[in-house]
Amino acid sequence: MNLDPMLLLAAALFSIGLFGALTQQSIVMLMMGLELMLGGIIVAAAAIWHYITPDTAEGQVLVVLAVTVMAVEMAVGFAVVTALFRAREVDVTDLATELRQ
Amino acid sequence: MSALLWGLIALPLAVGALLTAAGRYADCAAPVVAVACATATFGLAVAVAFRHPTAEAPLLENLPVRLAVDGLSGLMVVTVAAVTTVVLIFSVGDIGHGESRARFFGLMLLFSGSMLTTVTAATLPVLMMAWEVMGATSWALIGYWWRDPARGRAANTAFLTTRAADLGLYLAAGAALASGQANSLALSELPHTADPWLSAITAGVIVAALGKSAQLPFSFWLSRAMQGPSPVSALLHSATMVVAGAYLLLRLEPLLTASGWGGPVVAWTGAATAVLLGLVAVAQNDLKQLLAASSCAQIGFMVLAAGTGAVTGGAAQLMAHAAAKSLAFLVAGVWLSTLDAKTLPALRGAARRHRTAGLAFTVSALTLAGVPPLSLWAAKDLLLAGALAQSSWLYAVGLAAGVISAMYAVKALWFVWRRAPVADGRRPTGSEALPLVLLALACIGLAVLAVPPVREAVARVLGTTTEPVPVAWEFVLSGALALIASAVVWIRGTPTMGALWKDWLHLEPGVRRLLVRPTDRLARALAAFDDRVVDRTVDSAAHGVLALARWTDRRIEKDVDAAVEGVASATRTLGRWARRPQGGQLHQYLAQAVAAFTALAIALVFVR
Repeated sequence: MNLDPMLLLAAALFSIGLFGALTQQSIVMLMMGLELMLGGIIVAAAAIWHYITPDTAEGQVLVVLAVTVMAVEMAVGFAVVTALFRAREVDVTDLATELRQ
Repeated sequence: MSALLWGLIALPLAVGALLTAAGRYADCAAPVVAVACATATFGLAVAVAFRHPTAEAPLLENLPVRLAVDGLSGLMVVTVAAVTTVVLIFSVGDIGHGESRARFFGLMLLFSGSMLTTVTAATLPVLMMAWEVMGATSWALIGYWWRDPARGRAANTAFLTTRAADLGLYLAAGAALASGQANSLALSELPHTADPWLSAITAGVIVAALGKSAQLPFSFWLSRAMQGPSPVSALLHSATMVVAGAYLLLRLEPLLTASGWGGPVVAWTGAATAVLLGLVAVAQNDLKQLLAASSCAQIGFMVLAAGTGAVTGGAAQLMAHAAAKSLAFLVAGVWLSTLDAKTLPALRGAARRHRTAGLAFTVSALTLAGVPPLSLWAAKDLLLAGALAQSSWLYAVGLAAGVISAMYAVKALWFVWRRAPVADGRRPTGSEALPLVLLALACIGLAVLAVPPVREAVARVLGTTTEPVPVAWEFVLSGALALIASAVVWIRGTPTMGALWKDWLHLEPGVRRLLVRPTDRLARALAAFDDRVVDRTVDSAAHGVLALARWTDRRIEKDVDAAVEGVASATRTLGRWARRPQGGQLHQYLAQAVAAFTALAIALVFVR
């Protein structure tokens, strides 16, 4: 294994995620797309660390930071979605527009 | 020294102003106060005439009030003060208890006070002030019985005529200032200016003097001035208003000489007035009108004297005429108030009725006629000597005027001495008789002017010793002519004269036609022009602007408003449109991007 397939994998994950984020109307599915994009980025960061600078620790720290950010973000996101759904039976983005303007 | 002079003019002016202002409240005290004031003024005048003081007070920057008394002024102040005193004594009886006496006596004092200021003025500004006050008080005095509209109109005519001529003085003062050579506007500086200012000054002074002195062509106002009370006429014709013009010309005789043309113009105007107004006097049937025309004629002699440089003769004529004419008017006033008669036929036998008045009138009329040895005979020869030195034609005209003056004087005499039954009237009171006696004595006393030593003394006082003096044959000739003319008129009567002479040469209608009516018409035309053109232009401009504003409001403003509104709503619409794709929904953005790229792709395909 070397860097290229890993970066391909990351790009594929990111693209699938972006496609999901762009096309899904359901909030849950949209957030899944975001997960996949972040996952791609994590994979790319980890691969670059592993193959290019394996003897430093910054890459690992970056990966851990990204994972943490993803976890926190998802927790907040799902909490908001759950609250929204409980309040107004809303599960698609088109109906959650009262914060516009 | 100068306190005397200030007192001389301040006393009558102040007392007169006080009396006039006090009005009815001072009626009782007015005659006493006024006569006392006039007598005191007379005393001051005599003192001033002997002392020749000067006085000065600041008035404007470089234009002081300067009063000075020299020989001519000295004679004048004495004459004015004396005639004023006598006339005021007469007025005590003539202006009875029913009249508003304070106003009358106050105005008379103001009148003579302003005349005293005029004759003592040494600079133009103070002369003009006095001149104007004199005109204003003459208006108030001629219109003294103002409840009669005719008298008010007469006062207006007299005032407007003299006032129009007075503008000449303003021209003269303006020209003197403009010349830069008479900066203090002193009368003595005026002859030293250069042309063209000299000519302007001369012309202005001549016009103002001729207007005040009722010389041709201004004579008609004097006829209207007869509407005032008799004492007013007596004062106005003898020692104030009317002689002020003659005095001014005598005073400024050097100016007339310096201008070159002023002397002959003035001389011939005076001579023409003396002849023509003398003939007018011969034609009159009303005693006061006859005397008024005779004033014009006699003052014509003084103007003639000023024009020929015979200042001695002019001053002598002025004094002698003042005594004779005030006397004649006072007697006419006596007859008017006692016999209620004005016209000559109605006055037949008047002199036989009141001997004092009759004899006084005889002295006055014979003086006016120039009968030797009375004063005007000698005075006339003194001034005609100056005329003879200039041109024999002028002398001949002057002699003819003398003959004419004999004609009208004797005509009046003839009527009053007829044997005729006279309506019984009241007798003249003592205060009316005393002035007549005084003035008659003055007329007789002034005859000493004919005596050479006295004449030379007068000339010395006036400082005019270089003037031509008449020789014996001139005295004889003029005296003989006056006597012959008097005798002829006494026996044969005067020729009947046409309406032209009766109506004062139609001067007033002529002036009305030539000046007043065109002025009125012009004023009306200008007023109509103002109303119909200027005013209407302004109004219609305003209306036009308003209409334009309304139209703009309706049409253009609406369009502009609509355009602005349109831009705003279009912007709003555009904003709405622009908001619509930005819903914050990513999937919609994607759809839009897909649509856009598809359109781009199609366009690329088709365009390439």
